[in-house]
Amino acid sequence: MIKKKQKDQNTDFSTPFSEFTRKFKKQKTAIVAGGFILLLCVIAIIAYQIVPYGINEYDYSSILKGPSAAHWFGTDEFGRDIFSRVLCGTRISLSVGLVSVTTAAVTGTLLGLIGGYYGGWIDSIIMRICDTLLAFPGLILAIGIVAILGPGLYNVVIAVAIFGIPNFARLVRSTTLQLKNSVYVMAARSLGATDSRILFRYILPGAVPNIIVQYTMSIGSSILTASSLSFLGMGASPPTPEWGLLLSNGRNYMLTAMHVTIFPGLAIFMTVLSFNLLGDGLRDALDPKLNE
Amino acid sequence: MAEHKEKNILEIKNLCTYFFTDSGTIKSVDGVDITLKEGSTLGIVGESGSGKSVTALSIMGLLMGTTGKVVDGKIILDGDDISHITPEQQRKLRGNQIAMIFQEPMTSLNPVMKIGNQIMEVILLHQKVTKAQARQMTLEILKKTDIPRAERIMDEYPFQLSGGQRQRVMIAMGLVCNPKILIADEPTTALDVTIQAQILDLMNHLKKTIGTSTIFVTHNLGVVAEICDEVAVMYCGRVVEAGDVYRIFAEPKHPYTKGLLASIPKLGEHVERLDCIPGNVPNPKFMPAGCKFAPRCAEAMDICHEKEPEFYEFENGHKSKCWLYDKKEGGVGR
Repeated sequence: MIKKKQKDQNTDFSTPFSEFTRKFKKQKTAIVAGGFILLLCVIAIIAYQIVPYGINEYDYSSILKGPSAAHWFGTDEFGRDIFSRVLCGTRISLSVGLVSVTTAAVTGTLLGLIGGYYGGWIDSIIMRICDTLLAFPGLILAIGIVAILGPGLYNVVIAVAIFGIPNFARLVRSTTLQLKNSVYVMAARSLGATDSRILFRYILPGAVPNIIVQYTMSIGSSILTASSLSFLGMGASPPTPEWGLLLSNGRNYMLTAMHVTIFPGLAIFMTVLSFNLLGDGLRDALDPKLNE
Repeated sequence: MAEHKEKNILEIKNLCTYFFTDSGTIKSVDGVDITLKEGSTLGIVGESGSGKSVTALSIMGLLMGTTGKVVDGKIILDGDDISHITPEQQRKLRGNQIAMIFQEPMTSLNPVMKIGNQIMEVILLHQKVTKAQARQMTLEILKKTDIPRAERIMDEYPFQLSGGQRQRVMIAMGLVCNPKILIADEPTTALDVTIQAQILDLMNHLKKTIGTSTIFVTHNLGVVAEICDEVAVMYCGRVVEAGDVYRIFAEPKHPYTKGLLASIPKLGEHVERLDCIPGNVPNPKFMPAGCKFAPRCAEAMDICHEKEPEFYEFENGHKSKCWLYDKKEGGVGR
């Protein structure tokens, strides 16, 4: 171990990236979580090819049957295979999470950069809007937005994206405020760099570690919110195999056929947990102040 | 040397830069006149808070984002007044015609960009060249700064370099577009003494080969003696004495300059206490009415507390703002 450490210090090719990978390797939980997320991504892509039953394959001879060799997760009230439906739901949940958080991250980052860098009334307007959005609890806000836009999966994505924006805007703004007065930004300005160049090549890279962590953490929570909206009947509509919707369907049979709710619930739980654990690990690996 | 000194590459006339804060206006620079002759080095000396750095930032047009503003005066760069041009025109001047080196080499470079790319960026911003050409120019300028392993440093990050190496990179970045003026804001303050000497040598050498006129902002009189041709001594936002470096060191006229020079310990001389100038720099919000140095001046007369002196000229452009040289007011004359 000591020998290895010395070797690390002696290699003069220690780039920021290699430093990050070295630290990240120590985050065992995060690596397991990351592995699980990768598995989810693979499932999301190939789910429809590998599932044993079609997602809308009704089988009225086996309704609400518990887990068995034929149906690993059992069947629902129409005799559909829950395992197949949960697997196919991965694609929906992951894409809802990714698309909404990516939208929020891009918009929020731009707003934060502009607000923090230019200050003044632009900053005031952006930040007051963010404050207003943050004042509502996330789910209530999402319900409100879906109520305005109308139910449906696309509107859920928009709603989840909107309530993610202020988090990113605030995060990026604080780094921008800090970095815009740094000597190297001043030096860049003294060499005639344009505002956009300063923003994207000098200030944004400083905020990227924070953005990555926030991004990973947000995916978990937005998958949860999206599922909640579907559960409440404001998102995906049946027979889409959305996890929240599966939960909602199974709710009526909770006492007689628990498996209908347990497995989609477990899927949501595992996914959100992995994203949060990965986020934690990334944060520890990316924070230069946390030295081992 | 003499033929170079005919042309003024930079003239600053009555520059006033004020900072407008919530608790009042702070006159950081209040009527500064400076001329920089082509190919020469001008040292701006003064205590902390005397307005040296603000003068430098005013020339660069780098006051945006602060509460400061150039309220009066002219900055004439090679015949063109640059004090009233648009921010975009100012941006095009920076790095191309006027460049600046900062005090802290450790934090002056973008930590997430490779050295080569950072220098190339300056070239690509101001000149129409291909990336390959820019890379070649970068390598050449890096070699001129005597940096070891120039090729490899191109692909390294700032954190892999020492302070001295980083300052060399900063100098390379400043000089890569052959600017008319290089402003060095205490470039050696953060370095240790041996590296300071190397950097000063390098700057002296490059000044001669590239022909850039330099403004050297510092509070280190030793550095001034080493590198400057002319000196402007600043106190409370004003130039109180200016002239040839030899004359200022040999025959300081202003009591403040005398005090500064007296406070340097001399080799081989044993003293119990170092000389110092009594008192502090006045609070910029409560400036004395007359000469700003009068409250601390041992030779102050009545007039000094009432009215600000004008420049009194001596031989060879040596000039000083002090009532002592006014016979009518009871001074000793020139």
